[in-house]
Amino acid sequence: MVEETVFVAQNNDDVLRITLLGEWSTPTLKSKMDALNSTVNSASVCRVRIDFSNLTSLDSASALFFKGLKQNNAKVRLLGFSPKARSLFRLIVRHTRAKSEYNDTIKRTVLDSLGYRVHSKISDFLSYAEFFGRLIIYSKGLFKGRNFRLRSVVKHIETSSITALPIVALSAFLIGVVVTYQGALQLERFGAAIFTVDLAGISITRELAPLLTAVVIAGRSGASYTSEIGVMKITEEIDAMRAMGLSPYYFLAFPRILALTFTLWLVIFFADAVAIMGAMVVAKLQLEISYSEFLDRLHTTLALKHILVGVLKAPFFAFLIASIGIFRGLQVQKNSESIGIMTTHSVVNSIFAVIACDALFAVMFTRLGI
Amino acid sequence: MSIVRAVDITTRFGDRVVHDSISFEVEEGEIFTVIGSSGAGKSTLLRELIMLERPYSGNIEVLGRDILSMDEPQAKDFSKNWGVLFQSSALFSSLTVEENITLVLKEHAGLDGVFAKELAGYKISLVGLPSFAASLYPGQLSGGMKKRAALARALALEPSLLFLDEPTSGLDPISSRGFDELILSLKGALGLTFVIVSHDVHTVTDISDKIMALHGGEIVFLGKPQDAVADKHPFLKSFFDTK
Repeated sequence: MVEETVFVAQNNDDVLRITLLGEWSTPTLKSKMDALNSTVNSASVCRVRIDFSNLTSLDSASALFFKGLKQNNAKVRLLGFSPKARSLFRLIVRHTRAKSEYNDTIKRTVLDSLGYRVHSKISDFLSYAEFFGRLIIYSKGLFKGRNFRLRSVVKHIETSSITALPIVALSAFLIGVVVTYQGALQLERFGAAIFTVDLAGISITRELAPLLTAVVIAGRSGASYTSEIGVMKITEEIDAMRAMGLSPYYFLAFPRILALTFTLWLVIFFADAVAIMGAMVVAKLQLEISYSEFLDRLHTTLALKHILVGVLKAPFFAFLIASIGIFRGLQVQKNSESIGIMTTHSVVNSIFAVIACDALFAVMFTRLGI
Repeated sequence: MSIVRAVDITTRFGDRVVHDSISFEVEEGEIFTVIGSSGAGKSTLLRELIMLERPYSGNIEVLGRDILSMDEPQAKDFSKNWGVLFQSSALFSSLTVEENITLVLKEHAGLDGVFAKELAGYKISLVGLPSFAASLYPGQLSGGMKKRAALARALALEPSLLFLDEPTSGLDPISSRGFDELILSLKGALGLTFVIVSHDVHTVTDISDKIMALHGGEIVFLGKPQDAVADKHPFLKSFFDTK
């Protein structure tokens, strides 16, 4: 686009005369403003006269700019208003406040933001505790009347456990492969190749399969709980439920929590089996341990307690994942950004909670000598 | 000068003909209201005028430019020339009212800092919102305030043409009349042209300069509101009988 002339400036006898030309409108205002400001600043005169009489059009933003110019420098005079421009200036005066009221946003220091973060973590934890408390209170009425919703529980068993089986299977198989492969490389050097079976069997059933399954489910089902409930929060469905005297705890929270708590141990057991299959395949290829040899060795070393230890953790993991997912969903505010933030928090928090819980169990079982 | 000129617009959804070769013009400085039964294609017509949808055939000129022959960059640039108020307000929910307006100023005019805030404050006051509304998020506003805030955003670049989709839907009668008055006062103060889709009888009769009634894919009335009230067409009769 050709640069159009937007004003003509004449400088004589300490007076800068500016005649405005053409159209002054918001989309192209920036460059015109800059040009006019630099002309006025470089002229170094004490009086400026701005003539509006040759303007084709003027909009509010431009008028606001000239009004501001007047305030910056006491010697600016605006003249030659058309009736339309005059009414526009009146409108501006009526609808603007002192410039100082629009001053820049308050700046936070590092200490401020640290304080805010710590405060929000603590209050998050306290509200989770409150949510947990409410779950316990409501659980007393769970089996009264129609509060227990079997249909809903079954639906969530399908969406959060059964449909998760393929991805759990794939991940578990690969973990079995990786653990056995790494173990085999090390143990083969000592001629203790057969102990790979012990290593894989025990580490998979006790720790790896439960933890891996919990992480996959947290990323999959935990995130979906948060976003489902978050959207319901935004569309006021949860408020509607409350207003109709239907409890979101019985409708939304318990079916999800129960579904996951009832079934996660089965998913973990399934992951145990698939991971051991992965281990068997690698053992045969890498160490030439045949399937029957592998199973024989597994039978003698893998005590039932190892499988039970892994599976026993499942309900705890499940409760943490489901309750954190729902809790974060209920925290969603009425804006689209907050769903993203809360879903992220939900996944991060539940994975951390699962790992912390697992560590606690590890210490406990070791102390108990199991 | 006609601000919008639509010639022989035909719109189809599959086999269903929504607009059957309709033509109309909107003159500068008038409030042009489109009415019609639900499903008559009012909102679709509006979306075609602002280039969100394309008609099956026909010609549309807005502000003297043929909008159907524009390529994407041209269309993007040209859409700065009008403001749109969507039925659901469509304010960006993670930004405050002030940020909703300054975003447009920053992106399209390069204006920022205190000047942009001052300008946003002026638009907020112009649409009749209290100054504290500037720092609120859309989720914290009432329905009527949301509509006003969305109008302030539509006015950000001070376009000469505004499209309003059901501006008073979901508002109580008092807020609706307040909004109608706001439209009239903005028309007077800034010399704007409005194209409004509405089913609010009061908006149609009290503030419109010209109304167009769509029914069964055709224009069944195009003219002054007082003539529409007296019209014998069954759709118009039932529309104004509800008053």
